[in-house]
Amino acid sequence: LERTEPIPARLLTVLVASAAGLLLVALADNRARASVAGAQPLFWAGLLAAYLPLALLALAPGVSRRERVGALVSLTVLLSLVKVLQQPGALTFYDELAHWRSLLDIQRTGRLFTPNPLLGISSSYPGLESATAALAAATGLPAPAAAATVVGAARLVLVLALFLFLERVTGAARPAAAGAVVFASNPRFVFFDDQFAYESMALGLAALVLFLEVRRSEDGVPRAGTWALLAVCAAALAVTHHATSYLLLAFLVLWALVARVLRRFGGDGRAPTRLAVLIAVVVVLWLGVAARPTFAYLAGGLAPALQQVTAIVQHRGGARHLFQASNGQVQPRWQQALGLGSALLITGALGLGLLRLWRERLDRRRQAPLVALALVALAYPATLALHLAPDGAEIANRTSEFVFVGLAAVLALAIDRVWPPRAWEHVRGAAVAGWLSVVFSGGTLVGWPPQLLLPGPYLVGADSRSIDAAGVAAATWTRDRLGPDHRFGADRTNRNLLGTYGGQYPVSDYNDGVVTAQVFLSPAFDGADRAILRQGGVRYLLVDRRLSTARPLVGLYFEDGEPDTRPPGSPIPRSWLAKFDTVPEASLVYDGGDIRIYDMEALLRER
Amino acid sequence: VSVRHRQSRRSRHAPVGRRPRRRAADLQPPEATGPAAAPPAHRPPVGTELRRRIGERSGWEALGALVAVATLITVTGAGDPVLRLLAGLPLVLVVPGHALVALAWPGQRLGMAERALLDLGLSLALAALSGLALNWTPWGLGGVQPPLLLGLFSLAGIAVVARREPRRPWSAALAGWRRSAAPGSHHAVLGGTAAALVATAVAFSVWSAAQDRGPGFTQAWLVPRAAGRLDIGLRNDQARADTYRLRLTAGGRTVREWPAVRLRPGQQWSAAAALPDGAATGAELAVYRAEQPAQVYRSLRVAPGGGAG
Repeated sequence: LERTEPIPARLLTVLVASAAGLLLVALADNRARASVAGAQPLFWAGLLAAYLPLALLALAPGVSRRERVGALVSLTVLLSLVKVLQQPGALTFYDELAHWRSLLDIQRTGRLFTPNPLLGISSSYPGLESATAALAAATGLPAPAAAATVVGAARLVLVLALFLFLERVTGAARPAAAGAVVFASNPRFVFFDDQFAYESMALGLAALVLFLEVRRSEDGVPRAGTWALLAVCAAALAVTHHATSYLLLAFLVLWALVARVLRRFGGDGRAPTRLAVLIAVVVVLWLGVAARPTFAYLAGGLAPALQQVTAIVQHRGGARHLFQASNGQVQPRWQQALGLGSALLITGALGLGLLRLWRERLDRRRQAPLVALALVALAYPATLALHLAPDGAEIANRTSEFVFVGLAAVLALAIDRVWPPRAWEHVRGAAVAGWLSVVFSGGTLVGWPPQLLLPGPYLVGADSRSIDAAGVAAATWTRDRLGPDHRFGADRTNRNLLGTYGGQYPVSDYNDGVVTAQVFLSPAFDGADRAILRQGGVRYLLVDRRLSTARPLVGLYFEDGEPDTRPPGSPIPRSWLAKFDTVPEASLVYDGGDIRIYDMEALLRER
Repeated sequence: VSVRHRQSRRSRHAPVGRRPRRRAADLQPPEATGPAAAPPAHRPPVGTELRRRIGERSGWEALGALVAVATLITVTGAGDPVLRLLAGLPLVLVVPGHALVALAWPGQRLGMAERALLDLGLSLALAALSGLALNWTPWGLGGVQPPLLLGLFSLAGIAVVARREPRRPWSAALAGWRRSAAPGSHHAVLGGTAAALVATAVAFSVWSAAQDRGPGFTQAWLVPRAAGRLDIGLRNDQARADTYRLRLTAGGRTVREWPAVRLRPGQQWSAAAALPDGAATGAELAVYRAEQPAQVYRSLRVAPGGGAG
């Protein structure tokens, strides 16, 4: 136990204001659930009230380091709670349900690597689920609560590690806190990075590795002990998330190269070569031992996006309409303005930060990591261009956390320039507050579908907004009345519910190479459909008739690459979903109104 | 005897510059052990003596005792859920990392932020790796094995550090921390207000989400079992009570009818029925609501020879 000072009163006062903002968010969620008008303005007022006071306190001049750390920790906790308030005590995001299945498998079998029918690659990276299983077993918490706690802890690690890393890289607490605030303003911080998914935990571990690396070079730190800590973190990272470990490795290589180049110009910074080798060894080892399908998985996600970008560059393909969802819904003008404003302000500040980095002489030891971070930040304009490709937007959003690590360092220098530490200048402070507000709110709108920012009634193909009591009840019914581990065909939302609440094995093209979507997306049930069901051994079909009421928000009813057979611009015709009622071999065993379950056992028996 | 034995062994092997362990008597204030001090007239009460001896333990020994108790609580599941939560959270998310840092960086003084980061981050890393380690044992990681492993790892680390580091009574350290960190009433009001606002937001959201049941629906099912037997059921998930009529037919003939099944919200009803000619002809179940008696509300069917495999 260390001696410590009481928490400063100013921090507590700001915390009260931000906590009141969180309460506004809770009120907005409540209005949205009841479809009462005014939820959106209340949500944005609450979100900004929760964010802005703590963000400003963290980066304002004349604030103690202790207050900055307190503000950053409070900011992280409050922003993490925004997602929790939306669906308290439940896991509803698409990736969350897939990882929940891996957790359930671990708890049920007591073993890792059980094949996951919702996200096959998840079982090859069980770090997050192992930690959550340990916490659930130790505390008796239900899985969603244990998951939220582990992810919340990982986010605290991420922000604290980033702050301490930047503090050593920039040489001061204020730019470090500004950098951490910039990072917390990235488009995915409030929702995507707060979900129960492997990346949420891996980001924290990667940041911890960076901090330990800069700490290793300080005087008086035991070398062998630090290497032991780095080895533990590197191993945990490698078994937790593929892309994060690869991108960390790429950054360390970049840092090492920059350090070597700078040495020719008089720099004396250490290159993290040995750490890069350690990470490479651990990653390759894990790939060889347990994660061989990783490259196929990553290639499946990257290849279409790269093809689309190439087609756009060569004027062969159609660009994506910005601020328009896959179902044709266009975002309001004010949201478009905020999104564009956010990108413009970040780009402008990037230029200012780079200029400052170029002009001012830095401590030579700190040059290499800072220049490497600046090079990462330069990827930001390229990610903006990716938004023009249909699949590129997803990649741009997925890389935003990593690019924002670089932006955090460079933009912190820009903030330091605009709001110098000489005095508490209110005009400059107001300018920074305005800048932060637009960057944060615009980024949140770009990084997460606006329709999913608040809870509300059922929407077709809208991930968390497609999960309601009817779907959960149907999935739970299958477990209670049919027993677990039956092979099902279903749309993407019900597939996830069946795999978690139902304990079933949903069959998909993605995991099993069986295009079950074809069976739903054909006008009549014919021999081809029969062959698909027999090929996949699909015993049950779950049909959600609400799919015929609208086009899917995320662009997919079932999965990537589903047959494009429906009439252009229209949802699935109702008759296509009702066709199973007249299939002689199909038994309609469950009718929940919108959701029906057919038993195709008679069909399978005819083989 | 064990204290003396340990002390003499320690003094033989203690490195230069490191303070050897002192006996409990050495920790007494000078006025109590000096030659002029009068011997105590009475033995102190057992409780006081116990408290004094516990207070003289080093911070690491005290932490070790707490970790042992927490491990016992989580492994046995003893105590109420709140106690288990209070024991389990630090056991997984704080203590393993704390012990590992103390092992790897002996004698390092860390700031609050760095301490929090390393305790939390390394604990998460160890928790992630604990699953991997247990997966390759016969016991696996399905039950209390992960917290047991993390608890044992922490205890082992603490034991090593406790022997290695200079002794400082935890009660003295705690008293110093209390004195310096005690918040004023103004701080308490502000902190309490912030905590109350956050707790209210969470509690209100939990309540609000629980009220959100959507438009309501009724589940009906007809599940074939072996030898022409059928499981039939209804569940009312609407906001109000409802009355249903059910009619089971096979080959166009009514096999059985349930004229009035009344269900409150959340209530479930089930029955079993046998088909006269097994599953050969199939069966159909029609469900009607009392308010629209002529309109089929739910319709289910079993294909001829289907479903019982």
